[in-house]
Amino acid sequence: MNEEIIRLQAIKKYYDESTHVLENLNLIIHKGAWTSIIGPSGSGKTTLLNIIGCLDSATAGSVFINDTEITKLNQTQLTRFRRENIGLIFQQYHLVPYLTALENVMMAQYYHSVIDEEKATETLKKVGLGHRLDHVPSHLSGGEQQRVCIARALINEPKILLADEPTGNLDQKNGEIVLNLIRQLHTEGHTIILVTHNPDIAKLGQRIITVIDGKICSDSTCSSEINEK
Amino acid sequence: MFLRILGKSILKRKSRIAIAVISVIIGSAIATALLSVSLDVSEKVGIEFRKYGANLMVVPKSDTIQVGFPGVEFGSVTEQRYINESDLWKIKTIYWRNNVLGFAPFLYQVVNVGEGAERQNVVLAGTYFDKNVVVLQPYSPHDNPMFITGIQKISPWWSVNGFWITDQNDTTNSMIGIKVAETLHLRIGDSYTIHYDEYVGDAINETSHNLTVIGIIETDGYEDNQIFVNLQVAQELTHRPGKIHTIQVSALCNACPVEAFVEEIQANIPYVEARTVKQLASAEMNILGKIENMMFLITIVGLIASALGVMTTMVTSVIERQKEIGLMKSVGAENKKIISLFLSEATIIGIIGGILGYLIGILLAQFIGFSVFSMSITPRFEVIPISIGLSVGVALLASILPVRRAVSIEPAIVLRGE
Repeated sequence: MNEEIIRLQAIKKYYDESTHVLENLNLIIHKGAWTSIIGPSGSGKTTLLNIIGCLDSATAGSVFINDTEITKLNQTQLTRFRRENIGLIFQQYHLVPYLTALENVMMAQYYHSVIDEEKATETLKKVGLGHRLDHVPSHLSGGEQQRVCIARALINEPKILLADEPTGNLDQKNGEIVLNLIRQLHTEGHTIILVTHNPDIAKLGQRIITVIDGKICSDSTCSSEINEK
Repeated sequence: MFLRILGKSILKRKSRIAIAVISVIIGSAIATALLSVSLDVSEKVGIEFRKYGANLMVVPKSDTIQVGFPGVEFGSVTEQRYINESDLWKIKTIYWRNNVLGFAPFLYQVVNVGEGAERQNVVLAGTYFDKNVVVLQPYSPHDNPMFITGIQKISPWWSVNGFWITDQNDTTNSMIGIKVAETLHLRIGDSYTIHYDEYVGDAINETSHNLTVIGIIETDGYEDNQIFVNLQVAQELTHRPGKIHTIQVSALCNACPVEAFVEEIQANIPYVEARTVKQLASAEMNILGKIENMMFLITIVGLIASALGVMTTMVTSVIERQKEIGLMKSVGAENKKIISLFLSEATIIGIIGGILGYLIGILLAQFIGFSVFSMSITPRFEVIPISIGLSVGVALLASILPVRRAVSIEPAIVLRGE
């Protein structure tokens, strides 16, 4: 459990001279941990998640994932690294509208290596969508779409799952279903980093990191600032 | 999976793809039509020009005066210099013999028509109408030794009321120019007598010959003032057996220099001069060149319009699919996979547009053929790969900008909706 899987050293992210999103951020995340990142809108938590997820690059500093310094990788290498190591769960699901639930999952397999329809079916069954394989996203509820998104994130067996407001667009019932799934994945050993506005959801994690103005505070020290903001 | 993504993405955006395909069809149809016409045009336009008469004139080497034909000097009819009819076949023994569409010999004589004070001078032209010429020593053993030629071959455009003389041994029928018919009040079926006065010293020997009008010619040229009979009739009347004044040759020489015809004919029949109808030849080449240039430009404009249509559609498609592309990248799609998706889509658009464009282009070519050349354009199957290749090329070329845009999409930005 104490094995280090992600290390961020002096990460800075500037869009321009006046827009500093992340300021000298240092963070170590251990393998198998559930880390919740919380903070107000515009605090930099999604940017932080994107940098860890190889979707965005830091202006300065180093990011190590599994001893690979991803800040030194080019775009193609980052893409390859991402598909091997990271599963992404989006608030807005981002499913391809003309593909069925099964095909959306298989698409991730295709871009990773080879497709395995049986495995994709099993994964969808695991998230409770065995009966919705051939439905296109527009015929699925928000909760079901999010579960397809989770199945897609899981299909290539990534070590790290990054979830950005996974229940942000869901009602309470569907939100519970999705959170239970994430909880189950954590139990199975996945390293989970979850970005949320919701302190109650953040508390499901073993560790809560609060990001304010691009800097990290511990939850105990920053809680008052969150309330003020 | 690639084909599934490609197929479904195309089906999902049928109307947009249709617009791109239509754009390609337009360019492809124009290219196909003009290419088909262009491939045929040299031959068709050449034949079209041949309809306006011979483009080579063969006369005996002599002091000549210019009569009858703009830019061409005929041998003088008063000079006793002739070409031997027995040498006619030699015109079909030159290297470019297959480009000799036809030729017609002419023996001219001024004759009198009518009786007494009503007598009028008219030019009598003895010629071949539709004559079987035997090529005694063919250039190649594979050549057909028989060659049907005559005025019908070199002047098919003549407007004839009535009939052509078809029997090469017909000595009683004639075709007369419309002005002759008007002057002498002759109609089809009428008989008349021509008189030839030959001066022998101080004496005049008159020879007469009865003819019947079977056709009235209208060319708006000097032919309207002439009487046409079989060469044999003119030769017997004027006591010049086997003699002719000129030979008009219709040569199709778009791929060969006219000068080559001249040199070879003069080499084969040393006592003649062959002359090109320069105005016609240069006008022909000039117009042909201009037509081809115009077709090329229209094709280019068509293809550019086509490319712009495809590019606009593809750019719109990329904008609409930003999130989808960002998502594909986020789940691991490398740029080459994104590129191959869009280029495959462009290739399919190009192939469909190329095939449909070819079919429509063939119809367009027929329309151009009939409306401009009054003849059909032969569909050329070798145009199919060119049409499809051009269409695919245009579609791929038009995709470069959209694909660059797709490749530059940053998933982190598009997936958060910015």
